[in-house]
Amino acid sequence: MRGSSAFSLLPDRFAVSVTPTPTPILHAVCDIFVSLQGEGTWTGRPTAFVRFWGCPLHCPWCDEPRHRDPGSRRLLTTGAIIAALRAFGEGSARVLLTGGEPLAREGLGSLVSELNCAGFDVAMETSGVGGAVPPGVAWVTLSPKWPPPPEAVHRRADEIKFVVPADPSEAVLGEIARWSREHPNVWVQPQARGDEPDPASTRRAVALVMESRGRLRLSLQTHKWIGLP
Amino acid sequence: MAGRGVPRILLLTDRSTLPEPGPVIAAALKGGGFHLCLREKGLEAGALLRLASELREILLSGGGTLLVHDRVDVALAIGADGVHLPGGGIPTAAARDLLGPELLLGRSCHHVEEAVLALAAGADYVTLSPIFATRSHPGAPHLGVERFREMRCAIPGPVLALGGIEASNAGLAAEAGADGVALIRGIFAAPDPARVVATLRAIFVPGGSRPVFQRVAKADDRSESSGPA
Repeated sequence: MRGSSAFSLLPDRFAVSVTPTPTPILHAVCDIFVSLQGEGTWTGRPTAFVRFWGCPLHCPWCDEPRHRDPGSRRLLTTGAIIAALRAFGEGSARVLLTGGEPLAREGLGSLVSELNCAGFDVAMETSGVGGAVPPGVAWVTLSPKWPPPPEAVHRRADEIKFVVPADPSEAVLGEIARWSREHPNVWVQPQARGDEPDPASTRRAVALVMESRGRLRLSLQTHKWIGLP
Repeated sequence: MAGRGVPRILLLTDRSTLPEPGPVIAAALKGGGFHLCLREKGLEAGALLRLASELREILLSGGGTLLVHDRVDVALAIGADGVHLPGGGIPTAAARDLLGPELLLGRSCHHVEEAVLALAAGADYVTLSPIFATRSHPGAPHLGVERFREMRCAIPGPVLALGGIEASNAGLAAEAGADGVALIRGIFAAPDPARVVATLRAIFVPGGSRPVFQRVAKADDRSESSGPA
């Protein structure tokens, strides 16, 4: 195969093998920032967030609409992402890949590998839809939607976080009950209404926790209380 | 005050285009907030200081933000919101040391390497130019949208497109990944500057959207990126 259009002008006997310059992988992101993790197991820990643009799901309660805003979509090379994270300093030692849906992005494995090589501890928050978790991810937060993702993703997860509406379906309640028995680190988090937890969803989440005999914990988006992104 | 909010719309003064920019700036503010960079290369510091003082009064009345081109001393003396360094200006790190962590700092760049270094040394944003052909340099080569897009992907921070920007082509810059635009004639030679600003805000600040790249978060720092509207 000819690697450059310039060689197409030559007769075949002059054909040479040229390794084309690899096209850099570009990652569609909509947010890069450092903040405190506000939810779940690592609440309060400084974390650099890389939010991917785009998600195959369309959850009506999604509180991160930027991943669908074309004006927030930036295509960045892996090197640019790493340089942006380094500019944040020590607060970016742990990187959370979130979304949108990181698992649905091409080149994710390569990015994780490069981040590891650059010394970053990589975590991921995912709905479990879009592919397998690549090697090198040190912590997986699974936030399953409906229908539930494959069982293997649940078992790979280090924590499972169910976002709970005021009136969850029996099927969803069944999933929460199942994984509260089969997984050691399961959280329920009330659906958000703007920057506040929806009161009815909160009541339901609290009730689930109280009924769970210690198997479920309540996750709140504490960063929003103090105006952190 | 916009604080460290990165400019989305950066207007650069130029007496050769408009000797008395005050009235046009006042008119442009009717279209919404923007950042103004006082860029008058021929003026001595005293005259620059007086002009900066006049323009700041106008900007304060309409929700604009003042940057000073090149002259860190003048910016500090007048209490400007920041400095925009030319390519031949003092090193970015030196400017950051003088300005402290809070004031805004940008730099004009023409190459990816320059931009990467500037951002790593403390710049909040860079301009990349010229994206389009300019009337000030007729016949001079320009990047074009595709080359701009390629370069932008490798730059780990906010990039403003500069060069030949007008209301009619700013959308192309946004599609190529620009976080904002910087312009001279596109505003100061426009028949309706307020309309230009309103058009640019609709492209780059829809609904007060926050920037893709953010500095380290501070509690309750919810400042919007392009100054108060």
